Amino acid sequence: MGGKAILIVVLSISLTFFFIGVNYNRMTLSASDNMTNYANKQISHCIAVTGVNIACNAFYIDPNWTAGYSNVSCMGGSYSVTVQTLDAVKLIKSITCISTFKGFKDTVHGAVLYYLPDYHDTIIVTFQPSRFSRYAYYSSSEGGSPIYWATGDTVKGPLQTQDYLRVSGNPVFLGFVGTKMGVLNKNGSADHPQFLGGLLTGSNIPINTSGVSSVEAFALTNGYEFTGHDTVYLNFQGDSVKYRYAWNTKDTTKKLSTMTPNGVLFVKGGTARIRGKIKGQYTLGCSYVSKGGSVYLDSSIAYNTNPISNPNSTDIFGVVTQNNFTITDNKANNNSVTIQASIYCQSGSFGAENYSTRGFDGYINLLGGVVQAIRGAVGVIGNDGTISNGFSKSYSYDRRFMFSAPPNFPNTGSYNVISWYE
Amino acid sequence: MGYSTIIDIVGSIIIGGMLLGILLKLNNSASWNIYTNSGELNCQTNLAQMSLILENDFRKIDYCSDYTNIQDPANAIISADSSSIKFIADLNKDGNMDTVYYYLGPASELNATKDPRDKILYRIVNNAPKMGSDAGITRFYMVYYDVNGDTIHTPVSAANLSLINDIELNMNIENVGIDSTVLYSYWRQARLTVPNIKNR
Repeated sequence: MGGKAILIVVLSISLTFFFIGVNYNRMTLSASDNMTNYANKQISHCIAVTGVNIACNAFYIDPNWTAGYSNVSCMGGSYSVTVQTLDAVKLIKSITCISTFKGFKDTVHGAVLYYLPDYHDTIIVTFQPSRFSRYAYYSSSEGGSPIYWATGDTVKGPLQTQDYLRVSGNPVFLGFVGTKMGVLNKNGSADHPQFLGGLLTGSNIPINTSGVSSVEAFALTNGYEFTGHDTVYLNFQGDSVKYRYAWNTKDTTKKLSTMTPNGVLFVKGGTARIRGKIKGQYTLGCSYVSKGGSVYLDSSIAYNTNPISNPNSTDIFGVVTQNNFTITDNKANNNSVTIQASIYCQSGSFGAENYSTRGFDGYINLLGGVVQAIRGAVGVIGNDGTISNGFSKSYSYDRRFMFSAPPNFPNTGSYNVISWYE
Repeated sequence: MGYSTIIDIVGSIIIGGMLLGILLKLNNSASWNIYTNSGELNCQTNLAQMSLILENDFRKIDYCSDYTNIQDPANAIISADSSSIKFIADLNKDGNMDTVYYYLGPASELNATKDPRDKILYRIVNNAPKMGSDAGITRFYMVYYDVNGDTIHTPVSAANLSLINDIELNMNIENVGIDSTVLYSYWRQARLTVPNIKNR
């Protein structure tokens, strides 16, 4: 009787320890599985990041690269890359990288004890052609006489110069800054420029010397070209334009959408003089053919819907000129002037006519960007440190230009990332 | 003879009682160990799952599957503080931007748990009713860095939101079944790169 009771007690204790042991083992295995699962997902992700960065590098070197990669070994797994064209007209492309990591297998004498599931990660990068309109400021040359970005200057938006970026004091650059030659401090270590969007020295993005001709090609395809006239006066009136070829002749009025279905206007071998309000998306080109090739701003040019007050405005304007974009010295411009556009001067400068002799004419309220071969002057600083002649600058970057551009605006020849899915 | 029987009975009662006591104590101890160990397993599981969710969401800041609807990266982060952040992202890849709001609730919301420090981390997408998980989170804080690697002070002012380039995520998770300040899991994503906000 006593023996049976003891036997029952021993069996009970054994059973209890058995279940306790099973639970402990299960928890230990679960904890190990958690750790392994997390580690495998991280490795799979790292493989995908590696693959997509290698693919992006190949794409930057050759924007026509479409070969992709197939099952390239990496970190114990592999990745595959495909390149797709999302929009053949706008040349929007995407790179998709899919990683595969089979996890860790345990084997005894070559026999697999158990498999962990495969891990996959996908990264998709979308590119668009980079256009010069995305720059708040671009110059091939900062000019013979040094012009410095100084204390009080704030540049919002990307900036690129093929010259030295000359700074004095504490200018602030909120966007990404690229300079081919480097940064030159006027006052040495006393200067503290702030590059809040990043700085890349050695960045080489030459101006597109075919920019004007490419705009002309689009104007001839489904746009409108003025040819055989020394001067074309263009007064934009929302969705129509009034134009004439001499200051004292009558205007001809045409609806822009029917005049230029693709939004490109072009003045061949002449001078364009512009003013008015833009409604829609248009690019004005102007070429030099033994004469002409410059655009004069006779009065303010602004959008019908101001994107400052209405960020959903779809009005966009670009000027692509062979030589200069000049603010005319006239009565209309002697009390500040508004320019809402992206300006591209392929061989010339953005400046003010008679900038050193005209009176102080207020501010250039620019919303957009300036791309110029040689940095031009818009005013002169007097002995008291204020502007004595010409204009003060109030430049604002049109952030819509980060992802949009005026029709057929010159591109840089490379691509930029517009979307990254990870 | 009678005395030996009584002694046998008393002895067996005493020994039997001791054995029973040992068994009961063993059972109690085993139950408590299983309780705490399973709590720690839950703690580890919660940490792994929460980190995956956070990484998945944060990497999509300003992402949009429709490239014609991409928003200005300067406006991608709507508000940012040390333990809360609101941003836009196309989470379900339908081409429409969603508003995602993460914030840490007060410890007073979870008075029913034994751990007095645990809080709910809320994840609110668009205008959905607030939902959070009681995962034993006791600390959740973020550090924001600009493009030069300098820290941006929190709460991040409206003017500085566009300067955020990288985010550091930190999270402590404890076992909610016990009150212990020495037993916890800690996770840090030292530099979460958000590629879409670098377009500036």
